[in-house]
Amino acid sequence: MDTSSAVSQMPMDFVNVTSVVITGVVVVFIGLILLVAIIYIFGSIMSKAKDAKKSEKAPSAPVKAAVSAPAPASNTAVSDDDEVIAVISAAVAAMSLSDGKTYAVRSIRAKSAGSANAWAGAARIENTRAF
Amino acid sequence: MEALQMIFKQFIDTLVDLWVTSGFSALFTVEGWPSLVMIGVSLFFMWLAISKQFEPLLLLPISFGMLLTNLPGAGLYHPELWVVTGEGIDFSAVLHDGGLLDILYMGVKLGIYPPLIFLGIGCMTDFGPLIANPKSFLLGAAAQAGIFFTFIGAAVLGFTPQEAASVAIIGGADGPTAIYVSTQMLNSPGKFGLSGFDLDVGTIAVAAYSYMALVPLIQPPIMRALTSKKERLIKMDALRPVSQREKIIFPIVVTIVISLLIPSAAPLVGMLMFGNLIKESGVCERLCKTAQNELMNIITIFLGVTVGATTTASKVANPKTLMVIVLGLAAFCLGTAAGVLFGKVMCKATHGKVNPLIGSAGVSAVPMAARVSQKVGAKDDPTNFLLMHAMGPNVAGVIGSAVAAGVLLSIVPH
Repeated sequence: MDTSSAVSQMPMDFVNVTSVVITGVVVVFIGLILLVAIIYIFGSIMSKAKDAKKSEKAPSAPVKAAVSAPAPASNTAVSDDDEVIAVISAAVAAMSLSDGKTYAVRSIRAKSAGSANAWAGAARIENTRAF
Repeated sequence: MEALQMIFKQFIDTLVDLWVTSGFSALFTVEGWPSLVMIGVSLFFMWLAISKQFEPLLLLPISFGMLLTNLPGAGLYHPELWVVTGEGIDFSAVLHDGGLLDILYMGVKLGIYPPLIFLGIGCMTDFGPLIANPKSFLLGAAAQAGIFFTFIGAAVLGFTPQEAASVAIIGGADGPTAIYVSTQMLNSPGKFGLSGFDLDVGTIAVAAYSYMALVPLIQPPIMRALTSKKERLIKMDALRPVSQREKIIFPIVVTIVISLLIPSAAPLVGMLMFGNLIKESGVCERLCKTAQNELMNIITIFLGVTVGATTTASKVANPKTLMVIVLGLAAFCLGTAAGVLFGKVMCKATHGKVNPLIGSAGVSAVPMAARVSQKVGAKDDPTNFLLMHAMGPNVAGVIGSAVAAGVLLSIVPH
């Protein structure tokens, strides 16, 4: 508590009010703009570090669709994650075994976030559950 | 025969004594009717909490505290013990003579409960959308303008600086923050050596939580009025994935920057970020679970019931309470409008990449306000998913209102 200065409990005059309002808005913005700047700098450092790691990895083997049980899996994937492609192909293969039809995995593409995706949906629910 | 008469007389005397000392007799007197009204008000809030599910986790404890404190003679809470004199509150008197709720209320008065609630909120908050789109911070800041505009309104209506700050912080749409600021603000000795305030923290808290529950009703008309259909239809680019390392460093950086810039915001922001660090570190799962469940629930009960208990009839029955209801609503509307308008500015600046609807989420009220952005956007285009984009300004709003609280605490003398 600020005991050194006399605490005024009288209604305020125009100057007091304006100074509180202007200082308040300005300081809040300064604080958050500072954070924006820091997070940006930080994000760019992180993505640079990631790019550096990726370029080291680059000469590794190109992507191949390894598993494609009865169906030929032509893979025009944007995703470079072998394991995910393998899992999806295996799931499709299992599906074709169970209902006797043959399916082909023609392409696996990353969809934009926010589209009807079960994981995104789950995350959305998780994030919006009231406390 | 005489003995029988004596016994009968004593019996009647005792009954009369019991009646006189009972709460009933105190209630049905001229001095008692304000308490009766407050009991009615508490029942109304209980109904809102139970039937309408208005923030029931808080409104129910608050309304029950309101009921307990207005029962004459129950002695759970003594407003006279909390009168601030020249030397501050006499805590030894509180410990000596305090009732159950007086003892629990110390946690509010000493500013302990709100930061602990923030600890739990930190454990539940994912700052990922904010880290992925740091510009959201600006929307979180813009929506705090509601706080400062309301400050002007309160000043015009003749509130003292401390009261004006307490009312204005309702616009932060954040219960713990509002309680934190108003307990500290309404804490100085009055002109005549007594607490000179007509307001109490309970009124502020009830207004804050009621309006937070009403966010889905308050915000959409303002959002629609301030945006064009074309703006509402804007689909935003997918957020980039955020690495765990970024999520770990974020709370540490925010704590350092904000605490150094506005030291009085440190208790709230520090605990919020501590909770978030516990969560994101992934190595303290047990602490995280406790902070967001058991600890938070315990504190919520203590906070709710004691804050409700401050709403004694003598404090609430004055015209300023009505003004708080009006100003609190104004604070929410202005905050929403400021957020949406700033969203429009960002929309222009980014050549239509930002949907202004996410701006209203900057008022905090997590996650209700973000959900409102999603709903209003989905009304015009059901395939438009604004929710994760709105979570950015929404969690930025929590930091923003804590910062605004710190600013008010440091520039308004108290």
